[in-house]
Amino acid sequence: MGRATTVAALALSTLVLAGTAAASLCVWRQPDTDISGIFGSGSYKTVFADITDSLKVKIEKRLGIALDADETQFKYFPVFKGTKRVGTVMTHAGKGQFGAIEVVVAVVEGDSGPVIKAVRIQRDREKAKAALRSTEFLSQFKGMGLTDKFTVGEDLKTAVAGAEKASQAVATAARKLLIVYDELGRP
Amino acid sequence: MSFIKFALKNLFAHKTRTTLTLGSMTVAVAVLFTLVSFNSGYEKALKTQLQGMGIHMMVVPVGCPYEAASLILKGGKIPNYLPADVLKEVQAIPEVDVAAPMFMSAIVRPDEGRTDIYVGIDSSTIRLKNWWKLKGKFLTKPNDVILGSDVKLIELSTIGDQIYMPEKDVTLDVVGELQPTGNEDDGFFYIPLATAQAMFDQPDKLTGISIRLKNPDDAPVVAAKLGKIKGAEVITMGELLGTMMTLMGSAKSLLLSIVMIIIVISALGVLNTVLMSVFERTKEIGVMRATGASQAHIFGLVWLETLMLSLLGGIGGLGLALVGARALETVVKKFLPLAPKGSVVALEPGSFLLIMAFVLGIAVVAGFYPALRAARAKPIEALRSE
Amino acid sequence: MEIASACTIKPAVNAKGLVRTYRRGAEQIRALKGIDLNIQCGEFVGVVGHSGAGKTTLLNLIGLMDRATEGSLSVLGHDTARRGVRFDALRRKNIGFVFQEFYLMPTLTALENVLLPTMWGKARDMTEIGSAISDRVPSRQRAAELLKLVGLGQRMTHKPSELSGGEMQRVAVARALVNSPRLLLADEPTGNLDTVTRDGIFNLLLALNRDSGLTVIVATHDLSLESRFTRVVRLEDGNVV
Repeated sequence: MGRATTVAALALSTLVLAGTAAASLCVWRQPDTDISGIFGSGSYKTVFADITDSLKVKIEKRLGIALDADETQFKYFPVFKGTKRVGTVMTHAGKGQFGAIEVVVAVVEGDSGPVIKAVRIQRDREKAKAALRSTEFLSQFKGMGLTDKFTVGEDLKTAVAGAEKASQAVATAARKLLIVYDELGRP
Repeated sequence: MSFIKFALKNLFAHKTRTTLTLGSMTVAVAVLFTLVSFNSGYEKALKTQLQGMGIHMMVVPVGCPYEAASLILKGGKIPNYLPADVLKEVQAIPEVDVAAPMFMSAIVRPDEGRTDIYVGIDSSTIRLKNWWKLKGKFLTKPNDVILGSDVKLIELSTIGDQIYMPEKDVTLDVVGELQPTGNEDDGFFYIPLATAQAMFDQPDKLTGISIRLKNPDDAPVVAAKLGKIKGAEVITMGELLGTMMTLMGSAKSLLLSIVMIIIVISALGVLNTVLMSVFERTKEIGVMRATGASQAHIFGLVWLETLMLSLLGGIGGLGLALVGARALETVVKKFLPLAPKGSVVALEPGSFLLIMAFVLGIAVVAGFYPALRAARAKPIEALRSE
Repeated sequence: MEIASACTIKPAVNAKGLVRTYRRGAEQIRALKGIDLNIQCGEFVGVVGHSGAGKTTLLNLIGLMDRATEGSLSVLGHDTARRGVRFDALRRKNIGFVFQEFYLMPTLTALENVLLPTMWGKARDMTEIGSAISDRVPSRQRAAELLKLVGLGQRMTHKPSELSGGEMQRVAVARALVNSPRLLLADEPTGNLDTVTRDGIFNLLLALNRDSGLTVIVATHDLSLESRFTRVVRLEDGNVV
C-alpha cells in the first residue's frame, strides 16, 4: 500500500472516529425486532413531547425522584396495526450496576389506566446479562400499572441474586416511562 | 447632478426589481466570500488543532491505518502490530521528548448499536497529551479505567462505578474522567497498556507510538531515523494536515463551483435588470441623445448602472458576510467532511478584494450588451418608439 | 443672462434638394422629396402641414438627429454630409429640442431635468465620459434662472408627475436653452396642450425669438398659429409648397 494512502487513511480514520464520538443517548435501536416480538407485527411513528417545567414538577412528584438533566423531552412511538393503534413504545437509558441499561417499554390501555405490555432490554453491560434478559424476569412486568410499586424485593423479584441493582434499574425505568406516558395524557 | 447620481436614480426607479437583483447578488457574494474565507481560516484552525496536540509524528505498523480505519468500523481486529521493542528504539533517539505507546482495539456489538474502543496507554500519554484535563486519578491498578467524556455520558458512569466487559469478562473500576477534548479522545475507554494487550491477547504488541520532539524542526531528521525501523511507518502531522486539506479541497471546490455558478446567474440577473430598463427607457435615451449625449455617453451611463448594481451587491455581500459569517459558517460547515471546532472563517480584506474584482469583472461583461444596445439605438427611432 | 449664443452665420440653415427615404418592411417611403430651404439667423419660422407631410423628418435633419438620403444640408455653417462632422457635439452646443411629448425624465426634478444636457459636457467637444461637469454652480444657477424665466421658479424641485402639461413643456423649453443654443427646434410643442396653455408656450417661444434673437423653428399642424410666425414654410407630402 502506498504511503500516501496510509496517510490519507489515518486522516480519514481520525475523522471517522471523531464522528462516532457523538452519541444519541437513547434511540430505539431495533424497532422491527421489538414490534414483531411484542405486537406480532405493526408499524410506528415517532413523536417528540417536550416536558414543561410544570409537567416536570408533576412527574417528579409522582416518581419520587428527579428526572435526569437531559430529560427535557421524551420520545414516544405509537404503534399501529394497519390504521389501528395497538400500543405505545418508549425507551429509556438508566444507570445499571456496570454501565448504562437501555430499556424498551411497550404500554397499552388497560381497564383502569395504562399497563405495561412488555419490557425489553436493548443495551446493557451487566454481569447478569442473561438473567436480566430472561423471560422469567421480564415477564413479571406484564400487566403492571400505575398503582404498582415496581420495587425489587416487594412486587418484583430480582433477575438473579446479586443483580438487584440492575433489576431495580429496569423496574425504575419501566415505572418512569409509564408515569410519563400517563402525564403526557396517554397520547 | 453627477453621472453616478443619475445612474443611481435610474436604478432605483424600479425599486422592487433592483432590490431583488441586488439581494441575489448580495447573497451570492456573501456566500462566496465566506467560502473563500473558509479556506484560510480552515487551514489555520486545523493546523492549530493538530499542532496544539503537541504530537509531531506517529509510528504505526506498515499498512496499518487504512485497515485500522475500516476494521475498527467493521469490528475486526487490527492485523498488524508494532513489536514493543520499537518503543525502546524510538525512545533512544535523542531528539525525541516523549514517545507514548498505545494499544487500540475495539469490541463491536451490532445488536446494541455500540462499539467500545479500548485504548491501552501508560503514563507517557499523560505527559504527551498535556492538554488533557483529568478528573480523578490516572491508571494505577490493572483494572482501572478512565472514561472519555462521551463514554461517561453514554454509560452514565462516574468515578467509583464499575464497568463490566461481558465479552472479556473483565470488570473495570472507573478511576478517572476526561473533560471533553473536542476530538476522538472523547469516545475511548482508557486502560493500562498491559491490561489492553492481555485482554486482546497481544502481549508486547503496539498499534502505534505518538511522538513529541524536543524541537519540532527536527521532524525530518527523526523521520529518517524512524524510517529505518522494520515494519514501521512514520507519519508526520504535517503530512496529516496536508492530506486533510486535500480531502477538504475536493468538497470545497465543488461548493466553490456551485457558488461561482450562482454568481454568474446573479450577473445574468443584473444583465436582465439593466437590459429591461434599457428597453423601457428607449425614449429617455432618445431624449438624452437629442440633448447632446453621444453614443459613448449612453454606453457609459448604462455600463455604470451595471457596475454600480454589482458593486452595491458586492459591498452588501461583504456586509452580510461580516454580520452573518457565523450563521453562514454553520450552513457551509454542514457540507464539509471535517470541520474543526471553533471559528474557521477568516474574513480577510485580500479575499474581499479578489471577489470584488471577480464580481466587477463579471459586471463589466454583463453590462456590455445592454450598454451596447442602448448606445446603438438611433435617436429618432428611439423617440418614435411607442 | 445670455439665453442664446450669437448666430452670425448666413444662412443659419441651408438645404438644397433634401431627400429622406425610409424603408418600412418592403415599402420605400419618401418622407422628403427634394426640399430647398433657407433660414436666416433670428427668424421665427413655422413649418406647417398635415401630419405625415414630413415636418418631423425635416426637423430631425436640421436638428442633426438624422442624415439625409440625398441633397445637401448645412446647419450653422457645418456641411452635414461631410465626413467627420460630430453630430452629438454640434447638437449639444448649438441646438435645443422641444418635443410634443415633453420627454422629461420621470425620476428627476424639474431642475435636474433642465440640467440633464449639461451632463454631457457643455464645453466644446468634451465628449468623453467623466468630463460631465457635475453640479457646477454656474450650470445650476443658469438652470434655476431659466426655470424662473419660463415661470417655474417655484416648481424647481417638483418631479414631472407633479407638474401640469404646460409646466412640463416649460421645463422642456428651459432644458433646450440650458446650453445656450443658436437654434431652437420645436416639434408640435403645443400639440398636447389646451388652447390657453398653448398660447402661453407659443408666446414664450415668440418672446425668446424677439428678446434674445434666438432662431426658432416650430413644426405644427395648427394653422391658427400661422399668422404669428415671421415666416411660414408649408410642407405637403414631402415637398415645400
